[in-house]
Amino acid sequence: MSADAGPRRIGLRSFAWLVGLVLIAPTLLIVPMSFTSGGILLFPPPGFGTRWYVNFFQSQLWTSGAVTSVKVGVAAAVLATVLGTLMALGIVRGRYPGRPVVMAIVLSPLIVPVVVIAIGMYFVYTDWRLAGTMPGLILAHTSLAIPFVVVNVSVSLRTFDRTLELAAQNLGAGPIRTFFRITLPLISPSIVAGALFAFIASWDEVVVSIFLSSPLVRTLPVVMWGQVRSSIDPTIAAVATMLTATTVVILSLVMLAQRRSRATR
Amino acid sequence: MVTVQRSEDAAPRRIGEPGQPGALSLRGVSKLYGDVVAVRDVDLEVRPGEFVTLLGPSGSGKTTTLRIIAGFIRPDAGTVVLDGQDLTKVPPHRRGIGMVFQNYALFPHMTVAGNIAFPLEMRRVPKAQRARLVEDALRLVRLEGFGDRYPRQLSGGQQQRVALARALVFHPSVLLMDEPLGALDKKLREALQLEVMRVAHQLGLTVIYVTHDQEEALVMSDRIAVYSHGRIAQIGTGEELYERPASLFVADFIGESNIFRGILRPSAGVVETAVGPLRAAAEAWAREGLREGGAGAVVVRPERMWMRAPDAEPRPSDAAALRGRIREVIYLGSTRKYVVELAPEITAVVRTQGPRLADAPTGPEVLVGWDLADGVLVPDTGEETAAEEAEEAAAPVPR
Amino acid sequence: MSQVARQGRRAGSIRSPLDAWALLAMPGFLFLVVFFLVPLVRMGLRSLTDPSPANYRIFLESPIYLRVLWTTIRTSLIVTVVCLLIGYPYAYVMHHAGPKTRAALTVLVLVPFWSSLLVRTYAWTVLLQDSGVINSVLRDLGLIDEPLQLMRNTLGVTIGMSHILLPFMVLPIWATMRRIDPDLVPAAESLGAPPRAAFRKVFLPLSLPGVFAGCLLVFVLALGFYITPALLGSPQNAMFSELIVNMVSERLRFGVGSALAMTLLAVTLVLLAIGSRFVRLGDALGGMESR
Repeated sequence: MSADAGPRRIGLRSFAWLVGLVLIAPTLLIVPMSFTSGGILLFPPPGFGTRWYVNFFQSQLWTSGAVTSVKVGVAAAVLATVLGTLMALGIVRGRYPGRPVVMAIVLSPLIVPVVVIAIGMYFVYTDWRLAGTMPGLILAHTSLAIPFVVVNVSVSLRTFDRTLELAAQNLGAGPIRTFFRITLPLISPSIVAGALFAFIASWDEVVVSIFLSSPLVRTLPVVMWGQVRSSIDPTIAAVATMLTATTVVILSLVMLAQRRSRATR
Repeated sequence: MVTVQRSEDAAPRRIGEPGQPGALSLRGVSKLYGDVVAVRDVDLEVRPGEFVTLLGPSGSGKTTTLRIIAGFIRPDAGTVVLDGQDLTKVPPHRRGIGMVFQNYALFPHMTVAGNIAFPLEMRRVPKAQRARLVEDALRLVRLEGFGDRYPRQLSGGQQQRVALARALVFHPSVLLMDEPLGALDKKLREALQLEVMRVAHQLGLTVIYVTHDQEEALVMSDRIAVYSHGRIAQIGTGEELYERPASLFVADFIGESNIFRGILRPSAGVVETAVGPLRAAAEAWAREGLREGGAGAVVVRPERMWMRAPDAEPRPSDAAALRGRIREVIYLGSTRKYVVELAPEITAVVRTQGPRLADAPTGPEVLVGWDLADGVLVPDTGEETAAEEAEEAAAPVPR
Repeated sequence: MSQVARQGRRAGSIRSPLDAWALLAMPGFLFLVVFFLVPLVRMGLRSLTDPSPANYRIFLESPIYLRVLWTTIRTSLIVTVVCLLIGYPYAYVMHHAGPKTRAALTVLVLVPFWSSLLVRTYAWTVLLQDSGVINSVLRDLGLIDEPLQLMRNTLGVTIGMSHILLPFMVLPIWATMRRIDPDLVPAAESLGAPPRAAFRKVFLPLSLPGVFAGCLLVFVLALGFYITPALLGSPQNAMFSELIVNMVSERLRFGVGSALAMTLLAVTLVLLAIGSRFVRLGDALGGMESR
């Protein structure tokens, strides 16, 4: 309210900006360092070049990891989006006993410590012969990604003006057509956002993947994890940069989708 | 209009007595947000004990003015003076001005008593004395025994009264109220209007009251300042504003008006309009801005209009007698409203009372007009009317 | 569809516990039960049967395990306090800033929130290690001769974890601040409270639910951290998750590993259950939804 900029406010503001800077600085710093021409990561880099990116694309280990990550991410995102959207509809629109239980189970992947999930899945998926396979990774990542879709879609369903549906029915649309012509188009931005978040959830997942990977089926973060602990190869910095770039691109898409959803409201 | 019983006042009302605190004056106050003018060059002199209402469409600057008085907004220019002391640079917490907010702004984590004791605590009033003052304040607003409740346990009207008690418990001489009754339903609002007036009169408070409800303004105020585009368009008693509006905006904003725009001819004593020359009384010309050949308008209230049969004899007191056709009759209980078309796209509204139904026209053709004494002349500066401004204000405006 | 269901219920004809919408939730629900819940339940059973409930006596086996437990709690507490001290002022500035500054500060919190935890932890190793960025710069400036020990200790773990968990503190606090009526602080000032008192008596108490939610969330999440302590810490200050992984993948004591995992899960759930009695965890989620 009071726009007066006292010294206290200026101090607080600078503090916040400093914190914000520290929040992104480590990630940003990796970018120039990944373009080093040196054989190890030094600061400042002795020179710049793309040799570690070239190295990445020439390495079977890294590229197969990237391919696996994309496949798993896309499949998990699609599955999670379908299942999660349906669940959101069931949770927000449904009136039945046990809804809190369903909600608790949906949100539990966000709450349960990831190591606990990883170990549990490792045991059971091994019994089911899913450990170390692509389907195993996809199923595991899907269950971790579902909450993001459900949370996104249910927020948009809750703020959805239901008189629009009543209006559509009053204008002669049946319930099914009302859903596909009115409801679905209006919540679609949040579904898209949910799908993108689901992809990120899979794309960045490490711990569960460590346990469910095999030397033949490994996601990019798993490869990176193995390398981080054993080598100082600057290729890791190149991979880190590419992982972050992917996330930033997808987040921008999310924001775009959300801006559009606000615009249609 | 509602007539107000003021007999329940314990003491006679005091306004502007020598030594009475609460003389507030704003001089040349302006505030801009970027390029948007929120308040422009506002002058306002309020006598101690006076009840002044700031009335205007939303976004017209009345709330900004109130917040400048309270000290939440620092004006870009001008001064706020209370009892001779320049407050302009005094922070809000040292101004000692009571304020009731639009949604009451009761502290949800404190009880009613805690809320009312808050200003006393800030003034380091000893605990024992605090409790007594809180009791007094609760009695003042007739909420004895509600001290231990939390705000959310009270109805809207009760919350409103707690907010009033809290703003008064430290005995400020000036009370600011920002649309305090806006959230309440009509019946409760009317009851609380009387309550607020009773308390204000009893304590001899200077009150600056913001509302966009003109009836509320007419009921409560000694004087009303009508806001338009950040300026005070006119200030005066309700009667002055209604009977002698100074501008098209005020004429249109306060009550209902027939407005006939045209060219002024003071030499001939007429205004040339699309429906013909309209006469105006000599007194009506005695006001600023009415130049020969300038743009102006005749303003006539619908209840001052008459309607006769088309062949009726003209009378010397007639300002005009315009031939028209009745387009609509609206029954309003105690009155009846006729919409009469005078020319394509030009209509007049005539309001008649029951007994006058005797003169009610039988056919669609009528003669409408008004007496010379009932027409008010205003300069037409090309400004918008209130309806146009309200439409514009419906678009979001930064406060 | 819901109209049909609702009318049906009003008429009292269909009083099935499941309406049409509930069926939509079924596939996802079953999926999560089979691929998420069953593994947890089976692990719980395993902790009791492989070979026996005696798995849970692991803490009595050696003081090392108790020390790990203590390290985990201590580190989580430190991280919570650090996040609170940084996060509250940050959220406060976000709340009071103009729209542009607020958007920028929000992005600064959210981008790390969504970017890979592994990448960020790795980035910190690049910064903090003996030949890392910070030590290089300090040495080049002539401020130090020997590299500072910035990681492989509690300091490194605290830095890394606080960085990653800060959004979980900022977002619930900010969400709570946004729900505070913006007229309350001006009201307090008009009643005679100097800005500091208005903050202490009115704004701060009303923002406390967000503070509790944030602290609970950060503490609980910190308890289960694995990647960050594994990379930035040392075996001397290993955390609970590292112990679990070690038990399962190095020592192959699956029953004991399950018992440890169940303990961590139980502690997490109990803390959240206790916490949710006092604060709405929706506050926390609310902050995250409203990006």
